[in-house]
Amino acid sequence: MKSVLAMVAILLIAGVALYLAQQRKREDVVSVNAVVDAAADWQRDLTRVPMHLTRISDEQETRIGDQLAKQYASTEPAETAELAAMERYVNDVGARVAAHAKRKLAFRFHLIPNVDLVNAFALPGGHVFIGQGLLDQMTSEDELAFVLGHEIEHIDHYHAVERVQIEAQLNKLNLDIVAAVAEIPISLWQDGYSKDQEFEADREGIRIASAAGYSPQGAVNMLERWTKLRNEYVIHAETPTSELSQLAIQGLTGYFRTHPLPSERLAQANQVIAQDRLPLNRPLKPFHVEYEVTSDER
Amino acid sequence: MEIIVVLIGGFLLGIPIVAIVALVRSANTRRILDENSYEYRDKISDLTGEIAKLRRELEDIAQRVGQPAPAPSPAPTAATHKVNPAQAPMQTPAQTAAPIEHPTRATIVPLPPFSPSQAPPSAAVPETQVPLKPPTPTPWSGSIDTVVSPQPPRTEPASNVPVVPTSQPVTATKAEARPAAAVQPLPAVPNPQPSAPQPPSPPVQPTPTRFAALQEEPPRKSFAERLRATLPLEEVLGMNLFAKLGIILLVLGFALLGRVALISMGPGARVALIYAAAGVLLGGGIRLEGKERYHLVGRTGIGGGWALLFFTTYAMYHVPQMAIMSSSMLNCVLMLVVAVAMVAHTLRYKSQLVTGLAFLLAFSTVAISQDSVYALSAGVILAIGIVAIALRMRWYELEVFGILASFGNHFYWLYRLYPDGVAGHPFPQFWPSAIILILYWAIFRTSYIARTIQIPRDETISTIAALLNTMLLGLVMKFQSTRPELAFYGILAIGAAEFFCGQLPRTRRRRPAFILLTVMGTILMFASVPFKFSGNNIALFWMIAAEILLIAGIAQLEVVFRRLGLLAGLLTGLLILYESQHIVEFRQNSEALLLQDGILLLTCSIFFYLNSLFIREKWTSLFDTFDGPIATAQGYIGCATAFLGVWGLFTGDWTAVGWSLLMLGAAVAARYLNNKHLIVQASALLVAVTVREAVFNCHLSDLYPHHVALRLITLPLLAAVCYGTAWALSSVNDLRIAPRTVVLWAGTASLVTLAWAELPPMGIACAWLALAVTLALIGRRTSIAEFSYQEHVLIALVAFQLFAVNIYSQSPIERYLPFLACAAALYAISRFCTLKEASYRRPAAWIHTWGATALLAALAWNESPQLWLTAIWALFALALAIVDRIFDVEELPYQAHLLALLAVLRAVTLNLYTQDKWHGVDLQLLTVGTLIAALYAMAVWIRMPKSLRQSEVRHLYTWVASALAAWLLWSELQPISVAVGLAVFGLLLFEFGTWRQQRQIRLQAYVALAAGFARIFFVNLTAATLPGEALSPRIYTVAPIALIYFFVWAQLQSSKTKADIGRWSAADLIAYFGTGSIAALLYFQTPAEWIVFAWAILAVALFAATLLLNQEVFHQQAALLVAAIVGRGLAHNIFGGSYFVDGDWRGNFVVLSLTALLLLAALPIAFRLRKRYADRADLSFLSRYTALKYPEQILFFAPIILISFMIVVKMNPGMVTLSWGIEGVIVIVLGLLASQRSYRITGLLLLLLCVGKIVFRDAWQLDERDRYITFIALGAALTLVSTLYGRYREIVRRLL
Repeated sequence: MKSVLAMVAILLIAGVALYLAQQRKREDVVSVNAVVDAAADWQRDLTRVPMHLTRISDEQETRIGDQLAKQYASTEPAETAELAAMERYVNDVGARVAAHAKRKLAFRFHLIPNVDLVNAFALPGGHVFIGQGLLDQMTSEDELAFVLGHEIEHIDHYHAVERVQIEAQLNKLNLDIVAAVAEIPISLWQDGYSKDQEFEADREGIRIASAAGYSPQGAVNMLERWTKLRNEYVIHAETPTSELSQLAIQGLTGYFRTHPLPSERLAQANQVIAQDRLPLNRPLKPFHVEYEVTSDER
Repeated sequence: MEIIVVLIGGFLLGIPIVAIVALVRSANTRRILDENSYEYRDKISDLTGEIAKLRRELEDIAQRVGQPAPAPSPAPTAATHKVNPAQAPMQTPAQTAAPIEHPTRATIVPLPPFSPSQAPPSAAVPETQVPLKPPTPTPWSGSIDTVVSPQPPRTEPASNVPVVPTSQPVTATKAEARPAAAVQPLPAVPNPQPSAPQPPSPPVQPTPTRFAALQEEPPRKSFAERLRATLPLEEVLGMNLFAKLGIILLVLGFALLGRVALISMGPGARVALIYAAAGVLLGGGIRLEGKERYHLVGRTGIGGGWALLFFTTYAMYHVPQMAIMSSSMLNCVLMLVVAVAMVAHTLRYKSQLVTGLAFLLAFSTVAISQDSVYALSAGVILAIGIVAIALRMRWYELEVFGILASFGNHFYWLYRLYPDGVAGHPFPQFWPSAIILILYWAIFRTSYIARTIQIPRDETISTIAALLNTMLLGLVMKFQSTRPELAFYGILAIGAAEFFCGQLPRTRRRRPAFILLTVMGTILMFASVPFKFSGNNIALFWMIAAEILLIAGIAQLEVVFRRLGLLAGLLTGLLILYESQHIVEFRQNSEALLLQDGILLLTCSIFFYLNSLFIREKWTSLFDTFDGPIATAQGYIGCATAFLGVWGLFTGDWTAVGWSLLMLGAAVAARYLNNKHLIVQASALLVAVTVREAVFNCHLSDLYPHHVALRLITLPLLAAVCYGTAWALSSVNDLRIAPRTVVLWAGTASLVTLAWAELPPMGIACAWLALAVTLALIGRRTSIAEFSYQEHVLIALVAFQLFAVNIYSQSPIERYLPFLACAAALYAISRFCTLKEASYRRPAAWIHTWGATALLAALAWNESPQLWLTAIWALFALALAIVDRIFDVEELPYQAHLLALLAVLRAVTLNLYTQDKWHGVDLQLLTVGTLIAALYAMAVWIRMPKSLRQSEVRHLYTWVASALAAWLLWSELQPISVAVGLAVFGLLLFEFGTWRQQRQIRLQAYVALAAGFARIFFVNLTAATLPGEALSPRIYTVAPIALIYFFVWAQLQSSKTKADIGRWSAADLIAYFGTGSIAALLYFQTPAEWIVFAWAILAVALFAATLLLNQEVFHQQAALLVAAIVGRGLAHNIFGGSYFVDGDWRGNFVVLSLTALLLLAALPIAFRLRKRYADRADLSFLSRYTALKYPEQILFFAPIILISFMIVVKMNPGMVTLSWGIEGVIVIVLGLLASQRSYRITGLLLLLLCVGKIVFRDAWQLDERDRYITFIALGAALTLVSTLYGRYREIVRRLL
């Protein structure tokens, strides 16, 4: 009898759960992310063990970063006055944010005048690059501060230099030789970092941007925009077979996906803002006026 | 033209040459055969004598030995045997060392067991086939090592005799070389008296006797030697053929010399010269013939001389260049004189060679010199001479040659006059030529009749001669024929003459001659008819003549007449058939009446059938051997003529009817006359009827149905006749089964075709179905299996018609009604569709019901909407299962299986992917739900064989149903609900399986629960909390699942027996699912840094559960979880965390510290567990490896590892040593308190590590402040520890 009652109770609980679950919007994505993310986390954690044991000095990191930046950054002056003004603007915002970084490195910010480049990346030693396409998506200076803070924290928390450490260990490179450093491809930093590192960069980027006087709402706005874009892109499976086919694809690509889902990043941002009690109601600073006018005219 | 002349001349010359050569060769062959016969006769005589002698000697030896004489030995074989020492018992080494190999092919018979008391050693002679010789003194060579074999009295030299060397020297003396030893091929048995040892016998080389030599194979000859033996070319050419050819050429040369050469000479000189030559030849031949060495040359010379002499005599009148005589009579007399002399003289030698050569050359000289028909009279004389010799000497081969030469000579003369034949040319010499030819024929025919035959060979040659005589006469007469219209009379006359000759009393006494001449005469008389008559008259005459001969043969009991009559009738029939081809050709284009031909053919048919059936049956004894088949053949011809006659008389649609009536008549006659050939004829007619019916009577290709009325009449009529024929053929005789079967099929085919042609397409199937059912019932009642077979085929046709025509009908009635009717009929007659005793009645019944089910399934397929078909098939399968349950129809379960399988396949391939709605409800849910219900019901209802039932095969249904149900849950529920749904479904299955005690259902439950567990990793654990949700969906979906798992585990645990305790079971797996769900929920729900702490709580709870519930599975889980905590703590919280620790006390120290403390706090539980499980012997695999007996070690070392590494990574480098020191002291204290040596050692090792760190690192790298603090603190710690150990030394010793 007890078991019958227990079973009835369990069935009731399960029925309630089913009812609640059925009432939800069909927005739950069926994926292997749970397993893949867990595996990726473990893999990231385990790879950081040797990183602790092969740490390089800040000076060596700066030298390597300068060498790498020479391969990518244009030594020529900006083609237009607008671009030059924009680069200066990025440098100003970046310097303001970088002042709150933990490591005292000479951070330098570079504009890549490519409207198709909707990305930003950081090299060891303090070099931060941002594409013109990404700038075009921004509506406030706070958003730029969040993006630059995110990239600064990749440098600040040794994410960028760890790539050099791994590559040097794998290819047995002598980092004191310039030619050896030149062998390291830039794509290592352009492709992004691990999910945990991305989360950490988000988390710390919001903090230093806020410390620099920018509103964390800029980060929230940016992440919300990306979340919306992704939701429009993602197709929710309606049948088990479509679920299975999506699982197969996501299972393969998910492991190699660098950036976490925008929704997850947004959730963490909100969590950090709430946890640190960051001033969410701080007014947003408008984007650089000259640049906006110039871009509108174009 | 010249070439032809040369060829003909060569032919004329070649024939006698070949004939002579053949004669000579045959004589030689006969001589050789005679010689061989004599030789073999001698050898056989010798062999017989040898065998008798050997038997006598063996008997003597046996008597001396005192044993019974052996049985006659088998014939010697070709194998050579050695004496096997092992076969001779009681042999001394010296004796066994002298094996002897016999050169003869003697078979060694094993020596009988020897007994010393039975015979002296010397008498121990092995029983061999070695020829025993009388004692022969052995010559002594003087050497003790050499033994000389006795010389064979009459054989090959001794060197041919193999001597087998002995392994030991054999010594012998003259006295010892006794004769007895000489014939002893085997070593002697040792002497039983040692004082008188028997010397070893010398080896004996048995002498190959004539007997043995005869058995020896001749030495193998080379190919050239064999060729020489087969074809002695030198002998043939040099000694035989060349001699003959030489004389032939000599004679011919002289003959030509007379006409061509020496033109300047007068005829007289020529004659004289040639006479002289002939005389030389003849004289020389006579002289030489007496000498043996020139025997052959002499005889050929004699023949040539006489030939030349005859020619010269002939030429004196007939050859102008040599004509010295004006009287033909005188010349004829002279030629006769010469011929008689030639015959008389040559007969002295009794040699066909001489005589034949003489005549050959005589003919040849006449041939080359003739110039008028009268010159050919010489040939007549020669022919008479040859015949005279042949009759006297019985040299019938010579007569053959004479026939060839006579007619060939005559033809050559004709050919020279008329190379293209005489026809159309004036031919004044016709009658003389004809008379000469007839004289030839008469001479040789007289010879044939008059001769006496003593051996069969002569009869054969005589037959050849007789045939040649008539054939050559006909050919030459044909060549010189100037009025072909007279050929009839000529041939008729010759035929009559031959027939007359055949009836002469002398001829009738020699039966081969009688037969030959009668047959030849008859043939000629028959052959003469077409030369005067034509068309049907020939057949009429021949038919009459054949009947006359047949009647005469029967009346006189003369087989020759009878057979001639039969053969003539046969040939007449064949002629009639050949001539009747115009009927066939005519019928290709016209169906007009052929009255005359029809009547004539039917009349002939009557005659043929009279011969075949009436006459043969009445005088059966006369038709025993050769006559019977001829009469039978006439019966077939009668059938054919009747067939053609009917074809001529019956036109259009009635042709088939007429033929069918013939068929019926043949069948009826076969029934009453018991004649199998009539059955064959009926069968042939059946084929004709069938073909005709198919291509004509059915009128399938007619555009306008003006024949339809006839079709309606003729086809049923044909069917009726066919069935009547079948009745007539119905008998127990097996030979009639096949035609009866075919005719029944033909009858039914007529009705089937009629229905197909006359009915509308949609009604055909029903008509055929009715016919099929009728046939089945008739077959069942009449026990005629063919009707059953026809029913089977008809049913197949019905099915084809249904699928090819009815299924496409626009009218539902035309679709449903035939299908349903057919299915109903199939079900109804499935048990009555064969004969009661039919061996295949069970498969047939099965096929019928299978067909019915297939029809219904196909109808459902065609009529139902696509998605509903699954449900319909499933329900149909269930219905079949229920019907089988009620009526016990054995094949229905299999049909239900197949239908269920099809339904499942259809659901899997179609229904599971549809999103269509039916009145707002998912069609997938309705159709697949129906299928699932049907499958579950079938699992209960369907019958299965006992073996399958025992192996729970029926649960395939429940497995499939459960799988489909799970799919439905997956498809119908929200993604996040699927796991809950699967878990609930698994719970329900589990409860049902437990209630019904069905293991397979429980297994399905486990699979569903496992699927629910897996599912949470794909959606539930990553489900985000939506705005407005107070409780995370992860929690309210995963927690009930875990509850279900633990409930199921509890249920299983309560039903476990003692034997199950400690054994891995499904309950353990379910428990792991439950704990795994909680752990996973904690992993995804808790912040990353706090996961280790959450897991630590869970681990402690599991330890507590282990303690409370006494379930070691939770201990396993707890241990594994602690391992995960350590791994996670190290990888994430220690090494994976941020590099910057300033101010982050909580993230870097609190979590891990709390985790460690929590784990350490659970140590009391661990100690209690250790006490509980310390004496447990039967640990499971996992319990053993998760340290069930030492849980305190797990709960101690895990936090120590975490804390130690936390200190290294997270602590200020300057404080690491100090911290480790404190930790070490605490650990030692803890070890002392807990009385755990491993704890204390760990603490000591930590302190030792601190010392080493100080020595090798801190002393050199730490800043001053950290350095001294570290040193002091560590020193204090070490002191403290030392103090503690000193104080508690005794305790520690006791605890060690």
